[in-house]
Amino acid sequence: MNVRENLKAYLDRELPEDQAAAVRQALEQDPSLRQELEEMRMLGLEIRRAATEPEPVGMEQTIGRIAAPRRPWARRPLLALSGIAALAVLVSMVSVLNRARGDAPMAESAAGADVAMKSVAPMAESMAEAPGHAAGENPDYAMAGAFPKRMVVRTADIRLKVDDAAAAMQKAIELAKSLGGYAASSGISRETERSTPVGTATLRVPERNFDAALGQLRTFGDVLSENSNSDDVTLQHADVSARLKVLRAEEQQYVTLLGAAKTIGQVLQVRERLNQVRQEIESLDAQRKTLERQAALSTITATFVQRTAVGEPEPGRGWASEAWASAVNGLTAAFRWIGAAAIFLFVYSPLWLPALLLVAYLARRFK
Amino acid sequence: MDPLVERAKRGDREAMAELVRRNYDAVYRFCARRVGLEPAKDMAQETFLTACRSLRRYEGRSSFEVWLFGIAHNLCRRSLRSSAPVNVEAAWRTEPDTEESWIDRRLLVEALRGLSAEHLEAVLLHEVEGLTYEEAAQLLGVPTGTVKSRLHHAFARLRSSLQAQGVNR
Repeated sequence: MNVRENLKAYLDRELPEDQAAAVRQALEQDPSLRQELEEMRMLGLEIRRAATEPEPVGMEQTIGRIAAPRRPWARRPLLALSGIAALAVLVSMVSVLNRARGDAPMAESAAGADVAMKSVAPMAESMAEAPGHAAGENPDYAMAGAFPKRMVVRTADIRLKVDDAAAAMQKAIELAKSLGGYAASSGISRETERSTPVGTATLRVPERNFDAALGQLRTFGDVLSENSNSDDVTLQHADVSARLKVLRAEEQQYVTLLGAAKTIGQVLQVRERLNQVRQEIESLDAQRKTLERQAALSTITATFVQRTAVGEPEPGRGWASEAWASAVNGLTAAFRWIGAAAIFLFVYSPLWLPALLLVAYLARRFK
Repeated sequence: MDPLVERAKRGDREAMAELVRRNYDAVYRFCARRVGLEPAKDMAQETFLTACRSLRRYEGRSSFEVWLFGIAHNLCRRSLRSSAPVNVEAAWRTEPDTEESWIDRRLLVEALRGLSAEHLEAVLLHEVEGLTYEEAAQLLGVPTGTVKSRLHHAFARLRSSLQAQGVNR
């Protein structure tokens, strides 16, 4: 134990008794240590005398402020700010939730797939928009770069209740055209003479306009059901392209061999093999082009069910079954809304949870 | 725990006002020695307002005065971080004392200026504010041994500075 290091603590009576006894003993034996202790004592005294003792001011003011009635929010700007921030987060969440509901009122179950599709959409867009390559005629984009670009085939089925099925179908066809696509098929049918007409249109729209087309269609009427699907065909396309490349090289070799054939037998043999290879090439090329076309043009099948006119009884359905269906639909919608709200709350928890915890913490602290 | 503090904890404004009266001078001087005379008033006021808001969390593990010093210490440190460095003149008198002094006051203040912020704080807390090692350690949030070590080194440094300037008893 270093006695010198304990000297100051000894002077301040801050040493445990055993260590203090050791210092006392050392002091008795060492005059220089006693001198040092005395210097420290004097130094401490001089420091205390040198310290300022300013005349305090402002006590009454402080008492006045403490006695003043509390104005919680004015006195706690941090708490107020936290509250405002939490409110802002809540309002933005509700607005996002409402917007999402407006976009896809009946398609919450497809929301996950939709998000996944959106994540690949920019790549698919870049594929469809590659300069010099019209839709369906883009031979190279799949293998550009070290990794193949994503190719996703997107399809959707949407069923809507509309006032006029024929008009809605015509509008849908116009919509597809305006978005750079076309109607692959369309038609109107009735189950029976008394049934309301049902129009169906199969629309092909560029992949980049898929979401816009679906969004527009939803505004045509009340969405009864909606399903969307995305199929990643990147690997399939890469596989077909690779096999094509190999077969083309093989074709080239047979062409060379054909030129070098000396007998008719050799010529026939080589030509037969060449024909087989070319057939395979054509088949694979068709597959590749189909995949590219499917990825470039998404398919939306829209079904328009015409509403029954007011006062006109809907065929085959009584008022009780109508009420039952309406009640079930309402309940389902309510549960769906609650589920969607819970999901939004969970996903947005990194935003609102810290704010809420901060408010709770500050409220407890300043209470 | 002091019954007055207990009453203040229960929201008794008069008890809190009495606590201010009892401790204001010490807190004001504590602040003045760290941030200077001008801001000391606001700092002391803020210390008591903060104490008022945080009183529920005071558990009596340290004396009420040390707890107040802890709040003042944090406020002063925060204020100094965002303004000019500590004005040593606010803490020390430079004019000579009427009593006979062992050391030239100016040389002592000069030596005190040479201390690191940590050593100076330990000296202020123990020698000037009169806190025990344990109280100073609680306030600084360090072990008691650290306060002991800081004081030992601060005094060794002061002695060697003064000796270098020819101050001998």
